[in-house]
Amino acid sequence: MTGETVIENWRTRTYRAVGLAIVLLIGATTTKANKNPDDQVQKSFEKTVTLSGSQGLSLDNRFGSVRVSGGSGHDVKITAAIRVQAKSKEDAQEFADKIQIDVQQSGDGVHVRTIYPDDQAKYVLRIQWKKASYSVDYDVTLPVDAPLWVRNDFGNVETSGVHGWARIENGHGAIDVKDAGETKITNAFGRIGLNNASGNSTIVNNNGSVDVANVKGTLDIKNRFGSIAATQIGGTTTISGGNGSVELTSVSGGATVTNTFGNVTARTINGNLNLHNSNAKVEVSDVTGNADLATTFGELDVERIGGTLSVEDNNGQVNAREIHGTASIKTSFGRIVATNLYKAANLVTGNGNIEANGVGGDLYAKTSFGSLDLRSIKGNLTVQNSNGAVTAANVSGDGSVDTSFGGVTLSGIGGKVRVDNQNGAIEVTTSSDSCKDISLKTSFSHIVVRIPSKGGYRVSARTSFGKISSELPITSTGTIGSDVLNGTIGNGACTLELANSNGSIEISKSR
Amino acid sequence: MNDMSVTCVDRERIFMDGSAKEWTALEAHAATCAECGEEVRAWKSMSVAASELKQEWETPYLWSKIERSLTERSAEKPWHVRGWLNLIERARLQWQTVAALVLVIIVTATVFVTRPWSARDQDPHFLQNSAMNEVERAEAAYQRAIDKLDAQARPQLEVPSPLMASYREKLLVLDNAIAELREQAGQNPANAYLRRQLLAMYQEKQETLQEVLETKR
Repeated sequence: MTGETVIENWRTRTYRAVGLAIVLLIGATTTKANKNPDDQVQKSFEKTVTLSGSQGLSLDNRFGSVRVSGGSGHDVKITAAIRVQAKSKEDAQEFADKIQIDVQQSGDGVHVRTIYPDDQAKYVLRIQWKKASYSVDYDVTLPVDAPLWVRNDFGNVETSGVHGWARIENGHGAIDVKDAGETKITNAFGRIGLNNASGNSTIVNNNGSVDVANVKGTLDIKNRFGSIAATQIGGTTTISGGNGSVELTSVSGGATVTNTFGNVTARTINGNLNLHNSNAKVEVSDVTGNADLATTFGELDVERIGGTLSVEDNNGQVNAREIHGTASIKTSFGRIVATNLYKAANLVTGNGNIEANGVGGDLYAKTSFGSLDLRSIKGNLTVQNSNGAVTAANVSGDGSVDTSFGGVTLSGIGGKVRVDNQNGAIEVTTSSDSCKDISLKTSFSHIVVRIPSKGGYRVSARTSFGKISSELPITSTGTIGSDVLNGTIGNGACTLELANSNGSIEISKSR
Repeated sequence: MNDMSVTCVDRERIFMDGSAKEWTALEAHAATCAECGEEVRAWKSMSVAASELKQEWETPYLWSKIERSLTERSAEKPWHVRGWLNLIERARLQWQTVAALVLVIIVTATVFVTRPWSARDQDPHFLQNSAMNEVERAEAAYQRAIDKLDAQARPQLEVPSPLMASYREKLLVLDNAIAELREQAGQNPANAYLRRQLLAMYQEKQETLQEVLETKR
């Protein structure tokens, strides 16, 4: 035998041996892989029951999905798929045969209940031994107006076109309800979706998102740990959230929202809005009624409120725009920025600046450590500040300012002016042609007052370590000195009291 | 007479290093067992083929050539591969047999690795054995990660603040859910829905603990 023939034989036999091994192995493993479908069993259950009058359906399941849809006629058609997997097909079949679907009819309707073998104590040990796994999925059609009660534990629940009163309870699974009537939905761990409900709706969830759209009646949502979104709600809406965001849009009957640790957005609310959040941001817009808003440790942004606005924030900035009713805004450790408040406003912050532009009525503004910039005030202005500058312009009414350690600049003041400052300059320019009483007091800085030349004032000016000067002619009476001036400008109809310590006083014409 | 008790379980060991007595017992068992019988016949065919191959090598130059070639290749291999080759040589296994065994391992591994996915495609309601193992490994990994995170987050969670009170409450809720799902999964072990829910709860707990740690930062 030649060397080539030996090699050829050797190769042939090697390939043969290896090929045989492959065939054997693939056969063995494929056989093993294909054994899996054999240990599963699926059984079908079907039953039709007729309802009469106001009878309804109750369905109680634990493991598997439940799908219910409204249909025509008076029949309830129940279809169920019972699935079992066990170590052998025989075991699976035996277990599947033990799962019962109990259908009872009584005066109030049809009651469907899944009875699993482990519901019966005598089977518990068998289940442990056999380790069967199982689920039962339902597909039910019932008369469209029939009441429905579904209880499930571990599986999704879907209903559609059920217009009668419906109560859906689940434990661990999603709930989707479409085209419903009056609904009450409860879940523990899973998403809840409700779309198109003609009646009132109540939703309670523990740990899962809630999404609601198009509810014609009232809506009441409670969710402990999960986001909430609701839109197109016809009735009054009440939302009690927990640690998730809340988004509410297009509500016709007013809304009440409480939340913690999650941002809240409310838009287009027809009616009053009562919103209390904490530890997160709040955004509100387009409320036709009154808005009562509160949050802590978060920014609050509000615009276009038809009624009164009440805001209470703790440690957060407040932005308010286009408020048609009176506005009361309080915050601590945050700035207030207000634009176009069409009625009177109270703006109070603990430690922050206040900016207001366009207030339709009286404005009361208070801060402790911050500056104030206030413009276009149609009513009277009252400012209380402890440590900061005050700038106000175009105030139709009186201006009253108390501050210290900051300059006060008032221009275009139409009414009386009173400024009590310490350690800061005062500059006041009146806008009216006629005189108004003016009283300005400060120390360690200068006072400048610009008054109409046609106005008449009884002047009383006093300073120390400074000089008094006047651009307008003054008829002096009483004591005259470099630090004291008493006299009259024009007819002396109004008072002009200027008091300073360690600073000059200057009286000039307003241009 | 067969006085030794041998079953199919023992066949692989006997194939590798079984005694004559054990082979006799296995052959006796294989006569009445279809599964073993087929494999014993196949093994014998392979053994005969291999022994015939050895007998065919009459030309000393050829075997020397192959041996030299193997030695050269072995010298090129890393030390651990050389070690395996030496072991094989010491065990006096023919390399064709070794190749067949390697193939067996590769095919078996391939089938077992790919099987869970095809099984999942077959029925989404239940997990197959290998998928169960994967899920249980994932659960164990989550538990380990959660234990570590929990130890790190515990001091922060004890801080008396409304935020931490809220996190404590959420973790309690998740723990209850996990306990309930574990209990149900014990009764209904291959139910895919229960397993997915349980993994989702583990994941949420892990994320919650991470959030607690982020608040600290």
